[in-house]
Amino acid sequence: MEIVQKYNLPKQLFLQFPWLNESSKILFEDVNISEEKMRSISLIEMVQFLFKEYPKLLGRIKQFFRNIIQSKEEFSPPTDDTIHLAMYPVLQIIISLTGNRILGNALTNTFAKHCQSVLTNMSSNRSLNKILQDIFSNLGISCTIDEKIYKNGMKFPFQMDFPSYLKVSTKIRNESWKLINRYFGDGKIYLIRHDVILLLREFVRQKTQPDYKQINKELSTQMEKIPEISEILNEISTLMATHKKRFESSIFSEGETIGSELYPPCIKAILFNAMHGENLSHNERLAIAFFYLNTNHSIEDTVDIFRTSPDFDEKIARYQTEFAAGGPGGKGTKYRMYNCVKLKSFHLCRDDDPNFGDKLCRDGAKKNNGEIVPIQNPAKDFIFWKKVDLNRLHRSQIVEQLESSDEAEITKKKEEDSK
Amino acid sequence: MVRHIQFPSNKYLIRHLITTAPRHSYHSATYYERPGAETMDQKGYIACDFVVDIDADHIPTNCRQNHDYAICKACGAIFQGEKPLKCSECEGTKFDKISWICDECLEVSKKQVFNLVENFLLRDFSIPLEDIHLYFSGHRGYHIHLKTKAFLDLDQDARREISDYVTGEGFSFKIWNFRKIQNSMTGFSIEDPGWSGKIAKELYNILIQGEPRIREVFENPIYGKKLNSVVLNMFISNRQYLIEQISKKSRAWQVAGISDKSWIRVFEILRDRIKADIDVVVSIDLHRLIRLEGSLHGKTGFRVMKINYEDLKDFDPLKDALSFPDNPENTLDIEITVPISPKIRIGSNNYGPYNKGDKLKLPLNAALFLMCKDVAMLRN
Ligand code: SF4
Ligand SMILES: [Zn+2]
Ligand SMILES: [Zn+2]
Repeated sequence: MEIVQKYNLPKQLFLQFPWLNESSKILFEDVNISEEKMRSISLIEMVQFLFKEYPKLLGRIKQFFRNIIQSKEEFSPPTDDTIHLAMYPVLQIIISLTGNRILGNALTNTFAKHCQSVLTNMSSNRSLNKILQDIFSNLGISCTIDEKIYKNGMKFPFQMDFPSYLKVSTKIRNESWKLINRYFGDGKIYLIRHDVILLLREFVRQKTQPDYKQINKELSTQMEKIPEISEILNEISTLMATHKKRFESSIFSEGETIGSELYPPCIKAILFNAMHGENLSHNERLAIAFFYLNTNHSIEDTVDIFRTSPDFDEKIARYQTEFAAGGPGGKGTKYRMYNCVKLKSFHLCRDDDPNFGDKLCRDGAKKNNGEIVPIQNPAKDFIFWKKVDLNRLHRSQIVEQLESSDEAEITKKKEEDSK
Repeated sequence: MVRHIQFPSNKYLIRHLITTAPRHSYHSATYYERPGAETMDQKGYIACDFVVDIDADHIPTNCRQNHDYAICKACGAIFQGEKPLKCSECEGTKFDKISWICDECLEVSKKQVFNLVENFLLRDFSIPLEDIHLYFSGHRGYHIHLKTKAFLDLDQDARREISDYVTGEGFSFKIWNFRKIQNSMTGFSIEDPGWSGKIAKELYNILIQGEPRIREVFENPIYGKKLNSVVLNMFISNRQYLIEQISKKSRAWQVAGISDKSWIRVFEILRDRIKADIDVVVSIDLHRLIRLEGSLHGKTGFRVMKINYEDLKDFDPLKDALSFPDNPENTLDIEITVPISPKIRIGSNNYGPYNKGDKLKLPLNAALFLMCKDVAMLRN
């Protein structure tokens, strides 16, 4: 295996992982351009140059978009040649041009998954741990290896610094990644190899995020004049038109970007992510499903939320939603909405978010007698107080609502008792 | 409140303070490109210190019952301790609160600072002592600023995660494999870094101190629901066995008759003893205002001051943070304006309790404290 001495990593990895920090240099070397020259040419010139240098680039990029728009988040092979490397900057630019976050998330997912599968397939390679360490060091993530560390009879060879760890672990939003549930001391989290590959996947997801602000109006008009680019953009819009359901979410009416004004911040944020094609975590899916089902939405409406997810599978989504609703026909117990305490521990509370945050969540609701009551449940008291806030309820309605909810409680209790 | 002010240099800040003499002064813990801009968007966020607030206000103490009270605004009835929901005399719901400080609550927050620094910041997070900037808040607590690059760049999720770690929030018994598998129950190894090890150590420390201590801990109402007495006795009778297992670093902690549920209750109590009582809201806020070092706290007249960690043990806020020299000549004439002005130590003297209408000639620091607490007014 040819190791690129300067960077400590096999050349093949740079070809497979164009998001590595020195990958672009390998590309320049391949086309025989000095670093200096590369720095002096404009973005437009670079794109033109790459299309000229790699005649197959156009076809490969089109194939990529065909894949992701059909919810197939993978590269068609080969994935370890210089064209793969050259695709990366051009894909980033095209997606910034479209400004479409569903495509952007599909891009990051594809790179992230690809990284995970390449590394998982290497698990018999004895130097894999070393390679992982070198990848981290390439990315500026501090992670050391000590093969002699065992905890509870299991090998924990990786030790990652907490700032690096937290940067991605908190985005996985699952309690097993909480710092408190990890072996942690001396500023380091002790990890097994499987953990490290999953963390790397998240790093890649963050690292490959297109910069939507990178391209201004003028630049974009110029870019669109490049024949290959305009050809690709045309193809993208044709493809998207045939997969309308995924690219247009039914839960938001025209012009409404964030969702109903009665929804709490946490729910708005999840809906926003879903709408932009992010894969939701398990907890996010459940939270949104419980919320929908507990606010009089149908199973259809609820399944629709997941339609824009890149890994959407109608059968699974329907099954999970029906399960949350208490089995087919909703016969079993309907699951109750997570309360705020739970959501906070999952990092899903967004009370302070600059886009979705809400004073009601931060400061609590003020009762008539001046007493402040904290918001405890997004599907119950939040909506109630929001209505009060927005003057949506008449005083009599407030009383009515409170009473009827009491009544509902009582009938439910009675039913339970009589069972 | 005047906000969003930016000063070109310290000189301007000091001049502003002299001319306006604000009762409270704060600065932002966040670094902005344009700190003077009116809205957060315009300011341009760069980074933010990691700030920890430890304040007796957030920590349950017994002294509060003795020195705090509430006065019904409608009828003047007095209620010792926390303010009630409703006045028992006139059903009024509006109260004036008098909240006081004493050596006990000041000591409690100091203890929590030691806990946070020793057991979390130095040990788990491995932060060099010189990067831990400690301040007395001027009232009943402390602020800790972490200004290292690693902390400055943390996003809000990461800050919450650190706060959760420090306060013991989100510990998952399932993930730690704590469950009964056919009569054998696995606990934690005392060697483990992180919370599982902390729990094992804390349990061990309590067990070796013997029966009275075990009872004192697990029956202390401060931790909420007491441990069931049958379970408690089971613990006491299996004390030696558990001590042995833990010191052998064994995770086999099975004691016949103690259910998973009881174990979890034990762990919850241990968690509350281990955690550092910080105000989470402060630590996760990326746009926090923090009291200005060197200014006087408007509710006490004490100085907000930087403290060397080595000096914390001997630091006496009621003496070391006083704003004026202890000069007996320098006095003020004041009159008490509330029903009771509880006892307070200032320097080495005790003052009070006083009653409404008492006319007093007190040394400057003591008089200032009572006026800042809004229990007295100046007489001319
Ligand atoms: S306070 Fe509750 S309702 Fe509001 S954002 Fe947080 S979790 Fe959602
Ligand atoms: Zn009253
Ligand atoms: Zn006290």
